[in-house]
Amino acid sequence: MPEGLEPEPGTPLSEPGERASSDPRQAPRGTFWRPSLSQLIVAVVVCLVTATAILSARQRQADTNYQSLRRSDLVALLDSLSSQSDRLDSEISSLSRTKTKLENSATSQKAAQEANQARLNALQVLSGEVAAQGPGITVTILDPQQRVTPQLLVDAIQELRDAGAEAIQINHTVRVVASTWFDAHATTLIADGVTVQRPIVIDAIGDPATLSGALKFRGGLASTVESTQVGGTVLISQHNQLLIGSLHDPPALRYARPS
Amino acid sequence: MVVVLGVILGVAIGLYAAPSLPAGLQPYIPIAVVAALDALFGAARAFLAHTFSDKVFVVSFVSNVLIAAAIVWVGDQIGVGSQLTTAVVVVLGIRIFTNAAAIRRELIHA
Repeated sequence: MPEGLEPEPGTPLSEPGERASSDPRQAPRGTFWRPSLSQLIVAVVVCLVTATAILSARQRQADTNYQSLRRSDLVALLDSLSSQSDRLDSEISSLSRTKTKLENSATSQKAAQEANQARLNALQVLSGEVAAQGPGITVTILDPQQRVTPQLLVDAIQELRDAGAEAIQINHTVRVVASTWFDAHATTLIADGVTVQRPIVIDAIGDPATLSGALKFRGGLASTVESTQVGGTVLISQHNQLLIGSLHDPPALRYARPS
Repeated sequence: MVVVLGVILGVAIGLYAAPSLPAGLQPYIPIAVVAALDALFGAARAFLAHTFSDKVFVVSFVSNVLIAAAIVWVGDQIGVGSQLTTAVVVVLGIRIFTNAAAIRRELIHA
Protein backbone atom coordinates (compact mmCIF):
# COMPACT_ATOMS: atom_id res chain seq x y z
CA MET A 1 0.00 0.00 0.00
CA PRO A 2 2.68 2.63 0.79
CA GLU A 3 4.39 1.82 -2.52
CA GLY A 4 1.16 2.27 -4.47
CA LEU A 5 0.40 5.58 -2.83
CA GLU A 6 3.87 7.00 -2.55
CA PRO A 7 3.85 8.85 -5.89
CA GLU A 8 0.87 10.88 -4.73
CA PRO A 9 2.72 13.11 -2.27
CA GLY A 10 5.46 13.49 -4.85
CA THR A 11 3.12 14.81 -7.50
CA PRO A 12 0.90 17.16 -5.66
CA LEU A 13 0.34 19.70 -8.41
CA SER A 14 0.95 17.98 -11.73
CA GLU A 15 -1.99 15.65 -12.40
CA PRO A 16 -4.92 17.30 -10.64
CA GLY A 17 -3.42 20.67 -11.44
CA GLU A 18 -5.90 21.83 -14.06
CA ARG A 19 -8.94 20.92 -12.05
CA ALA A 20 -7.67 22.02 -8.69
CA SER A 21 -5.88 25.20 -9.68
CA SER A 22 -8.59 27.43 -8.29
CA ASP A 23 -9.50 25.09 -5.39
CA PRO A 24 -8.28 26.17 -1.98
CA ARG A 25 -8.81 22.66 -0.62
CA GLN A 26 -6.23 21.11 -2.88
CA ALA A 27 -3.55 21.23 -0.24
CA PRO A 28 -4.72 18.31 2.00
CA ARG A 29 -4.36 15.84 -0.84
CA GLY A 30 -0.68 16.52 -0.98
CA THR A 31 -0.08 16.17 2.71
CA PHE A 32 -0.92 12.50 2.87
CA TRP A 33 1.54 11.64 5.58
CA ARG A 34 0.75 14.71 7.66
CA PRO A 35 -2.95 14.23 8.48
CA SER A 36 -4.96 17.37 8.63
CA LEU A 37 -7.82 17.98 11.03
CA SER A 38 -10.43 16.91 8.48
CA GLN A 39 -8.64 13.66 7.83
CA LEU A 40 -8.53 12.97 11.55
CA ILE A 41 -12.22 13.70 11.85
CA VAL A 42 -13.02 11.40 8.95
CA ALA A 43 -10.85 8.69 10.49
CA VAL A 44 -12.61 8.94 13.82
CA VAL A 45 -16.02 8.86 12.17
CA VAL A 46 -15.08 5.91 9.99
CA CYS A 47 -13.75 4.12 13.04
CA LEU A 48 -17.01 4.69 14.90
CA VAL A 49 -19.16 3.56 11.98
CA THR A 50 -17.11 0.42 11.39
CA ALA A 51 -17.16 -0.50 15.06
CA THR A 52 -20.90 0.08 15.31
CA ALA A 53 -21.64 -1.90 12.16
CA ILE A 54 -19.56 -4.86 13.23
CA LEU A 55 -20.94 -4.75 16.76
CA SER A 56 -24.51 -4.76 15.53
CA ALA A 57 -23.77 -7.56 13.08
CA ARG A 58 -22.20 -9.63 15.85
CA GLN A 59 -25.06 -8.90 18.18
CA ARG A 60 -27.58 -9.93 15.52
CA GLN A 61 -25.74 -13.22 15.09
CA ALA A 62 -25.53 -13.85 18.82
CA ASP A 63 -29.09 -12.69 19.42
CA THR A 64 -31.21 -15.43 20.91
CA ASN A 65 -33.43 -13.55 23.32
CA TYR A 66 -35.61 -11.67 20.79
CA GLN A 67 -34.46 -8.33 22.15
CA SER A 68 -34.11 -6.78 18.71
CA LEU A 69 -37.52 -7.88 17.42
CA ARG A 70 -40.40 -5.47 17.03
CA ARG A 71 -43.50 -5.68 19.11
CA SER A 72 -45.73 -6.93 16.28
CA ASP A 73 -43.21 -9.64 15.39
CA LEU A 74 -43.10 -10.69 19.03
CA VAL A 75 -46.89 -10.81 19.23
CA ALA A 76 -47.09 -12.95 16.10
CA LEU A 77 -44.39 -15.22 17.46
CA LEU A 78 -46.19 -15.55 20.78
CA ASP A 79 -49.47 -16.33 19.02
CA SER A 80 -47.95 -19.07 16.92
CA LEU A 81 -46.18 -20.52 19.93
CA SER A 82 -49.30 -20.59 22.08
CA SER A 83 -51.40 -22.17 19.34
CA GLN A 84 -48.66 -24.74 18.80
CA SER A 85 -48.60 -25.42 22.53
CA ASP A 86 -52.38 -25.88 22.56
CA ARG A 87 -52.14 -28.33 19.71
CA LEU A 88 -49.38 -30.28 21.43
CA ASP A 89 -51.35 -30.32 24.70
CA SER A 90 -54.37 -31.85 23.01
CA GLU A 91 -52.10 -34.35 21.29
CA ILE A 92 -50.58 -35.30 24.65
CA SER A 93 -53.99 -35.86 26.24
CA SER A 94 -55.26 -37.96 23.34
CA LEU A 95 -52.09 -40.03 23.32
CA SER A 96 -52.24 -40.61 27.07
CA ARG A 97 -55.87 -41.66 26.73
CA THR A 98 -54.85 -44.17 24.08
CA LYS A 99 -52.05 -45.37 26.32
CA THR A 100 -54.42 -45.95 29.25
CA LYS A 101 -56.82 -47.81 27.01
CA LEU A 102 -54.08 -50.03 25.66
CA GLU A 103 -52.71 -50.73 29.13
CA ASN A 104 -56.16 -51.72 30.39
CA SER A 105 -56.78 -54.02 27.46
CA ALA A 106 -53.32 -55.55 27.87
CA THR A 107 -53.97 -56.22 31.55
CA SER A 108 -57.37 -57.82 30.97
CA GLN A 109 -55.98 -59.80 28.06
CA LYS A 110 -53.17 -61.11 30.24
CA ALA A 111 -55.62 -62.09 33.01
CA ALA A 112 -57.82 -63.88 30.51
CA GLN A 113 -54.80 -65.67 29.10
CA GLU A 114 -53.71 -66.82 32.55
CA ALA A 115 -57.21 -68.08 33.35
CA ASN A 116 -57.33 -69.91 30.05
CA GLN A 117 -53.94 -71.49 30.69
CA ALA A 118 -55.03 -72.72 34.15
CA ARG A 119 -58.21 -74.11 32.68
CA LEU A 120 -56.29 -75.80 29.91
CA ASN A 121 -53.90 -77.40 32.41
CA ALA A 122 -56.79 -78.73 34.50
CA LEU A 123 -58.59 -80.10 31.48
CA GLN A 124 -55.44 -81.74 30.13
CA VAL A 125 -54.86 -83.47 33.45
CA LEU A 126 -58.47 -84.58 33.66
CA SER A 127 -58.50 -85.91 30.10
CA GLY A 128 -55.19 -87.66 30.60
CA GLU A 129 -53.31 -85.86 27.85
CA VAL A 130 -50.41 -84.85 30.06
CA ALA A 131 -48.54 -86.51 32.88
CA ALA A 132 -49.51 -85.34 36.37
CA GLN A 133 -47.73 -85.22 39.68
CA GLY A 134 -48.58 -84.37 43.25
CA PRO A 135 -49.40 -85.99 46.58
CA GLY A 136 -51.42 -89.14 46.42
CA ILE A 137 -51.69 -92.81 47.32
CA THR A 138 -50.72 -96.11 45.77
CA VAL A 139 -53.21 -98.95 46.26
CA THR A 140 -51.93 -102.47 45.66
CA ILE A 141 -54.58 -105.20 45.44
CA LEU A 142 -53.18 -108.67 45.98
CA ASP A 143 -55.67 -111.13 44.52
CA PRO A 144 -54.24 -114.64 44.69
CA GLN A 145 -57.60 -116.29 43.90
CA GLN A 146 -58.23 -113.99 40.94
CA ARG A 147 -61.67 -113.03 42.17
CA VAL A 148 -61.50 -109.27 41.68
CA THR A 149 -64.24 -108.35 39.24
CA PRO A 150 -64.50 -105.38 36.89
CA GLN A 151 -67.44 -104.20 38.95
CA LEU A 152 -65.20 -104.06 42.00
CA LEU A 153 -62.58 -102.07 40.10
CA VAL A 154 -65.22 -99.63 38.87
CA ASP A 155 -66.43 -99.22 42.44
CA ALA A 156 -62.87 -98.58 43.62
CA ILE A 157 -62.28 -95.97 40.91
CA GLN A 158 -65.59 -94.32 41.75
CA GLU A 159 -64.71 -94.20 45.44
CA LEU A 160 -61.38 -92.61 44.64
CA ARG A 161 -63.09 -90.02 42.45
CA ASP A 162 -65.64 -89.29 45.14
CA ALA A 163 -62.76 -88.66 47.52
CA GLY A 164 -61.33 -86.09 45.14
CA ALA A 165 -58.79 -88.03 43.11
CA GLU A 166 -57.73 -85.87 40.20
CA ALA A 167 -55.65 -88.31 38.18
CA ILE A 168 -55.73 -92.11 38.36
CA GLN A 169 -53.74 -94.80 36.61
CA ILE A 170 -53.76 -98.58 36.81
CA ASN A 171 -50.61 -100.67 36.70
CA HIS A 172 -48.61 -97.66 35.42
CA THR A 173 -50.07 -98.26 31.96
CA VAL A 174 -53.78 -97.34 31.87
CA ARG A 175 -54.76 -93.74 32.59
CA VAL A 176 -58.27 -93.68 33.95
CA VAL A 177 -60.39 -91.02 32.26
CA ALA A 178 -64.09 -90.44 31.72
CA SER A 179 -64.34 -92.97 28.92
CA THR A 180 -62.32 -95.74 30.56
CA TRP A 181 -64.13 -99.06 30.61
CA PHE A 182 -63.53 -102.35 32.42
CA ASP A 183 -64.27 -105.86 31.30
CA ALA A 184 -63.26 -109.38 32.18
CA HIS A 185 -62.42 -112.35 30.05
CA ALA A 186 -62.80 -115.39 32.27
CA THR A 187 -60.58 -114.25 35.13
CA THR A 188 -58.54 -111.85 33.03
CA LEU A 189 -59.30 -108.20 33.79
CA ILE A 190 -59.30 -105.73 30.90
CA ALA A 191 -59.24 -101.96 31.18
CA ASP A 192 -59.51 -99.81 28.04
CA GLY A 193 -58.53 -102.88 26.00
CA VAL A 194 -55.38 -103.53 28.00
CA THR A 195 -54.98 -106.63 30.11
CA VAL A 196 -54.63 -105.78 33.78
CA GLN A 197 -51.99 -107.98 35.37
CA ARG A 198 -52.19 -109.00 39.01
CA PRO A 199 -51.31 -107.64 41.48
CA ILE A 200 -53.34 -104.56 40.56
CA VAL A 201 -51.61 -101.27 41.35
CA ILE A 202 -53.76 -98.12 41.37
CA ASP A 203 -52.09 -94.70 41.62
CA ALA A 204 -54.29 -91.73 42.48
CA ILE A 205 -53.38 -88.09 42.98
CA GLY A 206 -55.36 -86.26 45.60
CA ASP A 207 -55.34 -85.63 49.33
CA PRO A 208 -53.63 -88.83 50.64
CA ALA A 209 -55.55 -89.02 53.91
CA THR A 210 -58.95 -88.53 52.27
CA LEU A 211 -58.19 -91.06 49.56
CA SER A 212 -57.02 -93.64 52.10
CA GLY A 213 -60.12 -93.08 54.21
CA ALA A 214 -62.36 -93.49 51.17
CA LEU A 215 -60.97 -96.99 50.57
CA LYS A 216 -60.93 -98.18 54.18
CA PHE A 217 -64.48 -97.54 55.37
CA ARG A 218 -66.70 -100.46 56.14
CA GLY A 219 -68.17 -101.84 52.92
CA GLY A 220 -65.54 -100.05 50.84
CA LEU A 221 -62.82 -101.48 48.63
CA ALA A 222 -60.61 -102.78 51.41
CA SER A 223 -63.35 -104.61 53.26
CA THR A 224 -64.76 -106.05 50.01
CA VAL A 225 -61.40 -107.35 48.79
CA GLU A 226 -60.44 -108.74 52.18
CA SER A 227 -63.82 -110.47 52.64
CA THR A 228 -64.02 -114.19 52.38
CA GLN A 229 -65.61 -114.08 48.91
CA VAL A 230 -62.49 -112.45 47.38
CA GLY A 231 -59.82 -113.32 49.89
CA GLY A 232 -57.36 -110.72 48.74
CA THR A 233 -55.25 -108.07 50.43
CA VAL A 234 -55.21 -104.30 49.98
CA LEU A 235 -52.01 -102.35 50.67
CA ILE A 236 -52.30 -98.57 50.77
CA SER A 237 -49.23 -96.32 50.87
CA GLN A 238 -49.35 -92.53 50.96
CA HIS A 239 -46.84 -90.40 49.02
CA ASN A 240 -46.00 -86.74 49.14
CA GLN A 241 -44.91 -86.80 45.53
CA LEU A 242 -46.44 -89.21 43.08
CA LEU A 243 -45.95 -89.21 39.31
CA ILE A 244 -48.64 -90.47 36.97
CA GLY A 245 -46.87 -90.91 33.69
CA SER A 246 -49.26 -92.91 31.52
CA LEU A 247 -51.28 -90.97 28.97
CA HIS A 248 -54.63 -91.33 27.33
CA ASP A 249 -54.97 -90.44 23.67
CA PRO A 250 -58.27 -88.64 23.16
CA PRO A 251 -60.13 -89.92 20.11
CA ALA A 252 -60.65 -87.56 17.21
CA LEU A 253 -64.12 -86.13 17.52
CA ARG A 254 -66.39 -86.85 14.57
CA TYR A 255 -69.60 -85.14 15.60
CA ALA A 256 -69.17 -82.96 18.64
CA ARG A 257 -67.82 -79.45 18.11
CA PRO A 258 -67.13 -76.77 20.70
CA SER A 259 -70.03 -74.33 20.75
CA MET B 1 -3.58 6.83 5.76
CA VAL B 2 -5.15 7.98 8.98
CA VAL B 3 -8.52 7.01 7.52
CA VAL B 4 -7.26 3.50 6.82
CA LEU B 5 -5.95 3.33 10.37
CA GLY B 6 -9.36 4.41 11.58
CA VAL B 7 -11.03 1.60 9.63
CA ILE B 8 -8.63 -0.95 11.06
CA LEU B 9 -9.14 0.40 14.57
CA GLY B 10 -12.92 0.27 14.13
CA VAL B 11 -12.79 -3.33 12.94
CA ALA B 12 -10.63 -4.20 15.93
CA ILE B 13 -13.01 -2.52 18.37
CA GLY B 14 -15.99 -4.17 16.76
CA LEU B 15 -14.40 -7.60 16.89
CA TYR B 16 -12.91 -7.53 20.34
CA ALA B 17 -15.35 -5.42 22.31
CA ALA B 18 -18.21 -7.26 23.95
CA PRO B 19 -21.44 -6.82 22.00
CA SER B 20 -23.20 -4.69 24.59
CA LEU B 21 -25.33 -2.28 22.59
CA PRO B 22 -28.28 -1.09 24.69
CA ALA B 23 -31.37 -3.12 23.93
CA GLY B 24 -33.61 -0.10 23.49
CA LEU B 25 -31.40 1.29 20.75
CA GLN B 26 -30.97 -1.97 18.92
CA PRO B 27 -33.64 -1.61 16.22
CA TYR B 28 -32.16 1.77 15.22
CA ILE B 29 -28.49 0.87 15.01
CA PRO B 30 -28.68 -0.73 11.51
CA ILE B 31 -30.51 2.34 10.17
CA ALA B 32 -27.93 4.60 11.77
CA VAL B 33 -25.15 2.59 10.18
CA VAL B 34 -26.76 2.89 6.76
CA ALA B 35 -27.14 6.63 7.27
CA ALA B 36 -23.52 6.87 8.30
CA LEU B 37 -22.49 4.97 5.17
CA ASP B 38 -24.50 7.46 3.12
CA ALA B 39 -22.73 10.36 4.84
CA LEU B 40 -19.34 8.74 4.21
CA PHE B 41 -20.06 8.26 0.52
CA GLY B 42 -21.25 11.84 0.28
CA ALA B 43 -18.02 12.97 1.97
CA ALA B 44 -15.93 10.95 -0.47
CA ARG B 45 -17.78 12.47 -3.39
CA ALA B 46 -17.31 15.98 -2.00
CA PHE B 47 -13.66 15.24 -1.38
CA LEU B 48 -13.17 14.22 -4.98
CA ALA B 49 -15.16 17.22 -6.18
CA HIS B 50 -12.95 19.43 -3.99
CA THR B 51 -15.91 20.74 -2.07
CA PHE B 52 -15.18 18.79 1.12
CA SER B 53 -15.65 20.64 4.37
CA ASP B 54 -15.02 18.92 7.65
CA LYS B 55 -17.63 21.01 9.39
CA VAL B 56 -20.27 20.12 6.80
CA PHE B 57 -19.20 16.49 6.99
CA VAL B 58 -19.51 16.22 10.75
CA VAL B 59 -22.83 18.07 10.85
CA SER B 60 -24.31 16.08 7.96
CA PHE B 61 -23.07 12.83 9.45
CA VAL B 62 -24.57 13.46 12.86
CA SER B 63 -27.82 14.82 11.48
CA ASN B 64 -28.19 11.96 8.99
CA VAL B 65 -27.74 9.36 11.69
CA LEU B 66 -30.04 11.10 14.14
CA ILE B 67 -32.77 11.83 11.60
CA ALA B 68 -32.75 8.26 10.29
CA ALA B 69 -33.00 6.82 13.78
CA ALA B 70 -35.65 9.36 14.74
CA ILE B 71 -37.79 8.55 11.70
CA VAL B 72 -37.73 4.86 12.52
CA TRP B 73 -38.43 5.58 16.17
CA VAL B 74 -41.47 7.69 15.30
CA GLY B 75 -42.59 4.96 12.91
CA ASP B 76 -42.32 2.43 15.68
CA GLN B 77 -44.40 4.62 17.97
CA ILE B 78 -47.23 4.91 15.43
CA GLY B 79 -47.06 1.34 14.23
CA VAL B 80 -45.43 1.71 10.83
CA GLY B 81 -41.86 1.10 12.00
CA SER B 82 -40.99 -1.68 9.60
CA GLN B 83 -42.42 0.19 6.60
CA LEU B 84 -40.54 3.36 7.52
CA THR B 85 -37.37 1.34 8.00
CA THR B 86 -37.79 0.03 4.49
CA ALA B 87 -38.43 3.53 3.19
CA VAL B 88 -35.34 4.99 4.87
CA VAL B 89 -33.18 2.14 3.68
CA VAL B 90 -34.45 2.56 0.12
CA VAL B 91 -33.81 6.30 0.09
CA LEU B 92 -30.37 6.00 1.64
CA GLY B 93 -29.53 3.13 -0.70
CA ILE B 94 -30.44 5.22 -3.71
CA ARG B 95 -28.30 8.07 -2.41
CA ILE B 96 -25.40 5.69 -1.78
CA PHE B 97 -25.63 4.37 -5.32
CA THR B 98 -25.81 7.90 -6.74
CA ASN B 99 -22.75 8.97 -4.76
CA ALA B 100 -20.93 5.80 -5.70
CA ALA B 101 -21.65 6.50 -9.37
CA ALA B 102 -20.35 10.04 -9.04
CA ILE B 103 -17.20 8.79 -7.27
CA ARG B 104 -16.68 6.21 -10.00
CA ARG B 105 -17.00 8.82 -12.74
CA GLU B 106 -14.57 11.10 -10.90
CA LEU B 107 -12.00 8.37 -10.33
CA ILE B 108 -11.95 6.41 -13.56
CA HIS B 109 -13.92 8.74 -15.85
CA ALA B 110 -16.36 5.99 -16.80
